[in-house]
Amino acid sequence: MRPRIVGARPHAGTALAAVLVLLGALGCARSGEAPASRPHGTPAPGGRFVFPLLIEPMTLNFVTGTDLPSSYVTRLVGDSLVDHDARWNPVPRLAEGWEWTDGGRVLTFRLRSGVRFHDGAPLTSADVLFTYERAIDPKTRAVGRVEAFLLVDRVEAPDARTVRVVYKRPFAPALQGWEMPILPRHRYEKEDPGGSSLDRAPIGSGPFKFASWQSARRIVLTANTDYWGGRPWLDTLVFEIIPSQDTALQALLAGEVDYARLTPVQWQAHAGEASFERRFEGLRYTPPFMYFIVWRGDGSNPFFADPRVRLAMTLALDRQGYVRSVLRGLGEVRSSPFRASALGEAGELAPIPYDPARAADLLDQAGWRVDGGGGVRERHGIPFRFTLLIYGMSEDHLQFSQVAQEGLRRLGIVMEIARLDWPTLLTRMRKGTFEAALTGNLPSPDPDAFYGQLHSSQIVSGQNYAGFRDLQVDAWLDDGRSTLDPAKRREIYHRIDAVLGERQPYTFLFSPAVQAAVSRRVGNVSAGPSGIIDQYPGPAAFYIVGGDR
Amino acid sequence: MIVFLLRRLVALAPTLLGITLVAFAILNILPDDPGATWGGAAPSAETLQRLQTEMGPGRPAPERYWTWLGALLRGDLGHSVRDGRPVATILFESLPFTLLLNLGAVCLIYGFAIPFGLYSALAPGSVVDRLGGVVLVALYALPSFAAALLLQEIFAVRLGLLPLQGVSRGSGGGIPAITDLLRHLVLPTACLALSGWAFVARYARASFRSAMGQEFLRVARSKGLSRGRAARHLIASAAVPLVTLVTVILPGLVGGSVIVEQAFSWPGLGRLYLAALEARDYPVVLALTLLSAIAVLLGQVGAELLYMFVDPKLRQRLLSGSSGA
Amino acid sequence: MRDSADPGRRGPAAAVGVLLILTLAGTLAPLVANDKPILATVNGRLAAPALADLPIAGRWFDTSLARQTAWDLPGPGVRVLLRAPVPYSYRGINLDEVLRPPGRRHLLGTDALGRDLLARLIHGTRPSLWIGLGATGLALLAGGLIGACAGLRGGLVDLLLMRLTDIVACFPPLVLALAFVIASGHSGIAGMMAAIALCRWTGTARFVRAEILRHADSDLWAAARAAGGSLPRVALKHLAPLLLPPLAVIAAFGVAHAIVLESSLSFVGLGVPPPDPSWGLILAESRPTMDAAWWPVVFPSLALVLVLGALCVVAERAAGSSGERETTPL
Repeated sequence: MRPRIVGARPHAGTALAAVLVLLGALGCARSGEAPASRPHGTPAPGGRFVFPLLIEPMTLNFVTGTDLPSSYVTRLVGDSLVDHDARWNPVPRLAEGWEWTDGGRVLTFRLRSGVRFHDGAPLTSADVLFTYERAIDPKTRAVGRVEAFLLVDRVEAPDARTVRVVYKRPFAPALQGWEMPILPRHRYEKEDPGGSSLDRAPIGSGPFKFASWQSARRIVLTANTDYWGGRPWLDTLVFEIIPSQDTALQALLAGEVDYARLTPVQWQAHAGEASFERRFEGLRYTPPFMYFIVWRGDGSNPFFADPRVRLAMTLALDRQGYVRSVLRGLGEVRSSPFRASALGEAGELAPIPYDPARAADLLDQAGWRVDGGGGVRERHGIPFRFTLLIYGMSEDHLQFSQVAQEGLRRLGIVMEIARLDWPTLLTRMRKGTFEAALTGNLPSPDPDAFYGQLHSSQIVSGQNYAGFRDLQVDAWLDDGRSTLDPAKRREIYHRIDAVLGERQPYTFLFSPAVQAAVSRRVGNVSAGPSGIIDQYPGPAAFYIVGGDR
Repeated sequence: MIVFLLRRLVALAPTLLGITLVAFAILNILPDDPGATWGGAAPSAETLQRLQTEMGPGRPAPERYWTWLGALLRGDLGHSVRDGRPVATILFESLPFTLLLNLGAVCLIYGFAIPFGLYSALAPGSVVDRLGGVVLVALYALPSFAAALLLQEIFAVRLGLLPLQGVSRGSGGGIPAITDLLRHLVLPTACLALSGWAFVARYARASFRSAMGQEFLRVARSKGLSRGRAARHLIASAAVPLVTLVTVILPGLVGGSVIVEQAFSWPGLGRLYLAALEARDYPVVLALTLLSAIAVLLGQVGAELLYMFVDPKLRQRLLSGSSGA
Repeated sequence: MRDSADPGRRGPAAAVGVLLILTLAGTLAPLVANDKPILATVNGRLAAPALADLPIAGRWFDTSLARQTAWDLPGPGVRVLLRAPVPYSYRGINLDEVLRPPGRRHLLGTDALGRDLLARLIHGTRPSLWIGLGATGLALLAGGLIGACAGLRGGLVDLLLMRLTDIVACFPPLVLALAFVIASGHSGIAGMMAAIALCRWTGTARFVRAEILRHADSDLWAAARAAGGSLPRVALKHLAPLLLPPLAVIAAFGVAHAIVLESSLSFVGLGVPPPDPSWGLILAESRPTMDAAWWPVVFPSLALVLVLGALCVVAERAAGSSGERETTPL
């Protein structure tokens, strides 16, 4: 395979803004979405941007803070080797570039020179090596990180500016693992991997410095004026912890925050209001987050071991109607776990429609018939009656489960709903003591993200709660991981997708779109598939129109 | 007097012990999965298995209880499972805000409900009595989240009079910081009070009515005692049940303000309680239970002290030690 | 106060009337709000499809005919003779009619899934009152027994039972109920009743014990004991009548508290699961659409006001008839 070198931008700084404007001008791929970037005014340093966080980060440790709110903060305080831009393309950050050699087994990063941590110490390959060692140390419990490094054989630092990663076999999603902010070795070295005093006051090399964290209230960052990529425009970036989405919207209206997510109904209520339009601009994006139903198909119940029954379930659920009415069209019906981009243009299969008549046919074929007077389908005297587990706090769970319940009732199937708290739901899925469960997943854009749900090695204690076992799919999944050629990969996942379409171990439901509003006094805000913060340069390029607040 | 107080405080110890035991037992029945707290985005089978062995209960429950109790007696509340910080630190971050919110709410509830109850007891069937009663019941039935939204919409968004959420704007100190905090306190306190008024006002009205039936007051009124003086006597004789009421609504306030705390981003114990329960963060749940129990029990002792001030007969009985719970 | 007698007499009658109507509407909900007709003919045979939905009575009717016919699109052989006053089912999801404001078709509007709000409120009466009454009944029974036991036996039994009461009373009700629902895994109506009763029995226990201790000094008690009655029998015969009126007050407020607690549980994600449309669930479901639609918030709240108001009036009436005494309506 031909070594590939990704060129680095020679200088970021003010150029970043221009690049973003360009990206924004290209607009978003999906039709009907708001423009992704809003260039207006002239950038000037100064001012404060307040972003509401629904959930407080657990820790600000770069390695263990893998939950989304933690990473929102750590990706700004720390720098990773690579990152992704607003369109989720890999971009160099601490690394000037990278190179694949030895048939994709060796990945070599060339570090930028002159990078310093916030305390003034230089950042070298030794810090990268240390961060990797921390991540794989079992005592650190860096659960979300370890997965990306399972196939790493060793990491070497031949000189201060070179990091060489040797994989056991080629690993296509390898780069994602290196979107990990780099810890300053000299500060963490002496601390216990299980917990550090710096977990709540991190030091990194990123565009913002950590200033303060008041528990359950706010996290404040200030501009790193010595940032290697140039000083960010903002003086201060505040993450205000607001656990209720309704309150966040009210806070936006009252001017206490500069950004808020709106529910589809809220968006409909506010969009078009002149005073709202004057102060705020709408942003829309569809994160890779997706809801799906797990059918426990390992034979522990009499219903879902039969693929015809599972397909009938998918046909009987009005996903289209839900997205159209309840989500007001702000979402995408899903029939596949993979994004269209992962499958290629010709690869996308026809979506599975809402077709109760065909569902009834399939159920009849599978032996579930309405014979008795009760109106409930039966097979061998067993009535079709099962329980769907849902997470009781989620509105989408609660509402979609009722749409499903009613749809199935009309087909002669009794579905009960159990509202559970999250640990209970997870425990029951993991033990396999359930018939069906509604759950959600925020996969990374790489199709390999569904390895855990689909590979039979993950049944016993992994995430394959459906108990799906198909040796051919297993082989393809392993192939997909170690194939670097994009065209070949797309073909592999296309084949997997075709099998899933027939076998339906899961019913993929929908991805809600996020409708957000951002204050017009902020410039250079662009929404990628995971929002305005989770991208590079992201907030480092925001500016307040007219400078100070 | 001091002996009495000491005796009462010592008597609390077994109750507190029982509370920790019950709380521990409940926590051990809850379905638990370390992956829920530690699972991350997409944990593999290998990681999950390792977590199960590392983080799972492992040791039998009684043994863990002993360890926890031993540490507690040494003044160590343990560390949070979620973020590894000492539980005491976490607790004392939220405690002042909870106290502020709940004391504010109790003051607001009593400050309004007692005069209202007194007035409607003195003039039953009047317009104020009837209409006020209906309005208060309506406020009680209005869900907290809707009340919160209404208050925010009116006072923060439309009128811009008060801050909408949180406890402070900046991080300064001194007098401005205190006024800032108090301004932030207004809306959540009001929201909490809205639902409390109906109950306390009804209760106060009933207490005053029953006190009014007492012989001495009837006689005094017939002999020409003024309305104001009658009211003073009324308050004195209805004080005991009203003081009792505080101790009864206290546990509800500590845990029940969750929805209000959520709606106003108030960093209180209710939110912490719910989050810790949902994350199965046992050390934090246990400590919070203990804390709320102490608050409730101290409230009871405090109420008894108050009784002694308002009721000389009761003082005799309590001091002689014939009282039970 | 001379003017107090008049409304005092008419109020309770109206309140009892309101409660009776609600109970009746809740019990007969399938006849009041149903998309199936009450009377219809299918190929010449008379059928009563709505009756089949009645919880118990439904078993006596020929259900096969009623269940197998599609009522939303009546087929050729079907003739509808009598429709229900509210011709919608509480679970009839209609994704083309979501969040319609109150109007002629839907008197109280529709919810986020296009279901008729009035039909849901009527059907919600049963689970909500059921939870309120059931939880309060259970709490009274358990609290009464424990309090009586402690008060009558005294000594060590008293000490232990009262410590137990103290312990349970220290837990915040919402947290205790939540933990109970999670631990038992039952968030159905029965589970909800048990969870709420668990939080509410302590007040009754304390009250009953205190009253027993108070009366144990009285002459009445001594006389009855001297006449040779056994302890429980004397207690039942002479104490129960004295305790009943104040307990009625406790009960009335308890029902309201239980309904509100259920809605809080629903709000934190563990209330009655669908399709039972408890008022708490309707309220919790109304939150996400609150900005655009006021009706799903206001109408269930009004239903709650109605029940609460009626219960308050009844309770105060009961307190009044119990004589001039201190009561603890908790």
